[in-house]
Amino acid sequence: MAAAAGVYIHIPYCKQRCGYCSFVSSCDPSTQEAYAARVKAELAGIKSERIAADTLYIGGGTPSVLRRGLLSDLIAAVRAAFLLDADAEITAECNPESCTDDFLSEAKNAGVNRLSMGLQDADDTVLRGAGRLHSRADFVGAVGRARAAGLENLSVDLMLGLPGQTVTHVEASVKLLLSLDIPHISVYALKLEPDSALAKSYTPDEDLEADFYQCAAGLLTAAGRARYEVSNFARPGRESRHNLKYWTHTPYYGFGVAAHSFYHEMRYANPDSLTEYLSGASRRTETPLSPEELREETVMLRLRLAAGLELDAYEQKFGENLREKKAAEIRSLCALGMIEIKNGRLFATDRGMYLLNSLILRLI
Amino acid sequence: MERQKYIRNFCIIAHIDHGKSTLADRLIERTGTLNKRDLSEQVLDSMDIERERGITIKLTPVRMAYNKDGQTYLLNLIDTPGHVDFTYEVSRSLAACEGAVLVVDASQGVEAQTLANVYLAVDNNLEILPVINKIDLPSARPEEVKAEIEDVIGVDASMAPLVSAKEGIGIDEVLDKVIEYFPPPKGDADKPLRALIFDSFYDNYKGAVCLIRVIDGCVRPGTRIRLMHTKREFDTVEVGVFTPKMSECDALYAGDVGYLTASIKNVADTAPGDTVTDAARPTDTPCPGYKPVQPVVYCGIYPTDGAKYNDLKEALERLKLNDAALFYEPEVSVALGFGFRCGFLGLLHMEIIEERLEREFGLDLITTAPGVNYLVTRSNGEQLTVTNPSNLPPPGEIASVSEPIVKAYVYTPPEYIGTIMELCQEKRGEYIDMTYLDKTRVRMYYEIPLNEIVYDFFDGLKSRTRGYASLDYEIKGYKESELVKLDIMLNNEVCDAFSLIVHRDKAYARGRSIAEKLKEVIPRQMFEIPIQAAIGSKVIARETVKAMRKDVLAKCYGGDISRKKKLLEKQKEGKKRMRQVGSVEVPSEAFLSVLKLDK
Repeated sequence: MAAAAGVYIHIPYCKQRCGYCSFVSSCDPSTQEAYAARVKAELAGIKSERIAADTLYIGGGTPSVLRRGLLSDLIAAVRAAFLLDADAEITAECNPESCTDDFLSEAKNAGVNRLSMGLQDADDTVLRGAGRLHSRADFVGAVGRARAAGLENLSVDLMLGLPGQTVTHVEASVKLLLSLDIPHISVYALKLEPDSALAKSYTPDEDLEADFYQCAAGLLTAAGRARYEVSNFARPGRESRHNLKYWTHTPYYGFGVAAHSFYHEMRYANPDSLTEYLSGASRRTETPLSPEELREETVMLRLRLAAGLELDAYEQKFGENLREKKAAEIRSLCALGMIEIKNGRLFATDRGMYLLNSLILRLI
Repeated sequence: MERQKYIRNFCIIAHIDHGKSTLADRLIERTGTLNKRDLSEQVLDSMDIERERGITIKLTPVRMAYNKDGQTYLLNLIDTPGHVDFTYEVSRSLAACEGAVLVVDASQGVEAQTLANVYLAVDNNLEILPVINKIDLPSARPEEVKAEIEDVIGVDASMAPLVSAKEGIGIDEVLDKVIEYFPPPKGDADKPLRALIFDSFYDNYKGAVCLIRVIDGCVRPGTRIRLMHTKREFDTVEVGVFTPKMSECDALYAGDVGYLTASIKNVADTAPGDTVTDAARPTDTPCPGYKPVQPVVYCGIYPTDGAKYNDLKEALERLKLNDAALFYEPEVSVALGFGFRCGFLGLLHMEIIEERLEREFGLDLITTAPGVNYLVTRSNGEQLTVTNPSNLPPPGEIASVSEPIVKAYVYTPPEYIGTIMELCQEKRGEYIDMTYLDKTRVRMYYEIPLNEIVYDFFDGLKSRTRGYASLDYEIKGYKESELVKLDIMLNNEVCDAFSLIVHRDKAYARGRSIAEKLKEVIPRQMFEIPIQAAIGSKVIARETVKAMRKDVLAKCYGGDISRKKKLLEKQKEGKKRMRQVGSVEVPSEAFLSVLKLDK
């Protein structure tokens, strides 16, 4: 039987746009109802036999800014379109300032069982510099409210390389999360797309980001949050089942503006303009993957995981013995301490994990 | 003799952008040689590179008919290349003319770079007719520019036509003055054939096409000709003139400019400056000034993608058909794989060939630093010529090394004498003498190792004299010198493509600047890369490329992996421009950038 699919819903609304952001997001809430209706129409269009899914991820944007009722509506529409497993992991993203009791109770009632909260940094000055609307105290309060509402499975995002951020800030941020006993932590390096506001005035220093990452990874792993993916650390059993689908070529269906999907060995992308999406005029674009692309993607995506690439499965699927075909590269990368092969798996070491692109380039 | 009275042979000399090509177009149009529709802009400069750089490399003559006072004149316009590398070619084409039209921009005035060619024309006894162009521009100052011409060049500019080639103003006057001002060709059609080859090109059907100026005698199809320097004989198949297309005619007589074909397979047999004569009735005096073509600058040329070696080989063969001065032979580099050692007339010639290879043949190239040929005597007395630094024997086996020395003539306004002396000294030049040609123009004569000239002498001269000085040089001979091989090591392995032969006193500074430059252009990799410059085993400079620490795109964009794939594709593209040198990936630009070390 095929692995159960994941479902993604994009909520392109925020109270205020962060300086580093390049996602599709609007600060004008007036189209929220129309938008939810479009997403529901899109979901209804999936029809035929209902597909089994075991994860649902509501991302953004900031799903917590939706007017009350819309979130439950959307989740109900997903349940109508997909066979959503009873134990499904249902995640909603939120920001501390909009993580109100109302939101939490609506989410909880609709079946949300995992919250992903953006902290980015625990220092108020750094937060203001990045254009965030919340303070450290707001965040701590939000975590308390979430738990009080019965949402225990929490994930928190940290951002590395924000303007003014130092290794002390990173250390303090990680320690705050550990003291709050947060089970899942994502550590993203700031990558400014040219269309983000901050890109005009600021370029993150990649060496500094590497220092930050090393610091965060060290503290997190020592505290029992294993790195299961380059940016994701979790207590065993608390890994994001949804995000894992992205790295393992498991089908996922995205709905909403700029949402991406992967199923039937094809990639799909919805229009990335909100106006265009709302008009319902354009359909998702389809990009079939050639076997060669699928093979390259496999190396690229699997190496992000601590588990790495299963060499026998790879050979079975692509008819290529990587160990033989890339013998010289593998030897030199092992000698450099960038990769290891153990129990039939090729994976990046601590040193190699942050240089994945170079590794991938040599191995595909 | 009567016929010759109505012929004028002339060229146009102008600074880039002063409107040489536009003026030529107008002359061609006005004389009805081509109508406006057929006249693709700037007929004369036919190669893309020529149009873009505004320079002429291949010479294209045009015959025009013009009526003046009821008499038809034949005006032969011979185009000239405009660069010191081609000084010899210029001098040969000037030798085919009696006059030179000097085009000067009415607002820019006289530009330094023009002077060298004007002097060359004067030395070839050409009459100079100044023409003030672009008088339609609001900033035009024709009277001042005339005074400048008289001052700087020393020719009478009082009757210079005021022209706007763009607007078609004053074109008739230029044509009238060409007839009045320039003498008709001398020579005697009844004497034995004596014709000067001033250029040649390769035609797929006709073989080598010689561009000739008939000095004496006449040539027609069937004439058995002898090339006096190469001593080869051929039967003339076709003669003709350029209108500007090749148009066959019955014969070319003394005073005529045209072409000749004789089923000559190889342009190398038709060297510029050679004299064509009648094998049955030869002349005893060849045209003066012939010099055999000899490459003076060498470099290695390699395909960026090693699999393109055969494409490069074919491209060089094709270019060689048309360019007798191009020399090449296969060579192998540890770092760069299979390629060619190529020889050129000079640096511009080298750049042009590289550019044509890249543009016309779509090749991506890696070029090594230009060098010269050295004469090496081994300890055992054996002699060898080295053009590739990697072939220099180890120091212990060398008794002596000699390098080519040139007689370098720098022409300059007197105010730059001091700075030029400094430059020549830095370049190991030996002062010989200095002559005031007139009050505004000095000729400084130095003997300088060619190896210093090919490095960055031109750039230095240009920047220190704001472009007012020009250089002419000829090979004088060889001189023993303290030369050493400078090696560059990446991650402790010698990269042969960077090796250079330099004077011992220059090695330290050169090594340091190359190491610094490489540090800038070699991207950070997964490990630290020491860059060392060394003479033998002695390291004289060291830089380090720090290890890269992060290159991953960490963010997960809701299942959108397109950014990651895009980045990967970009990196794949980048990798194609990389050369694996030992364990280090070196971008092909690195090989180029060490050739152009900025001060």
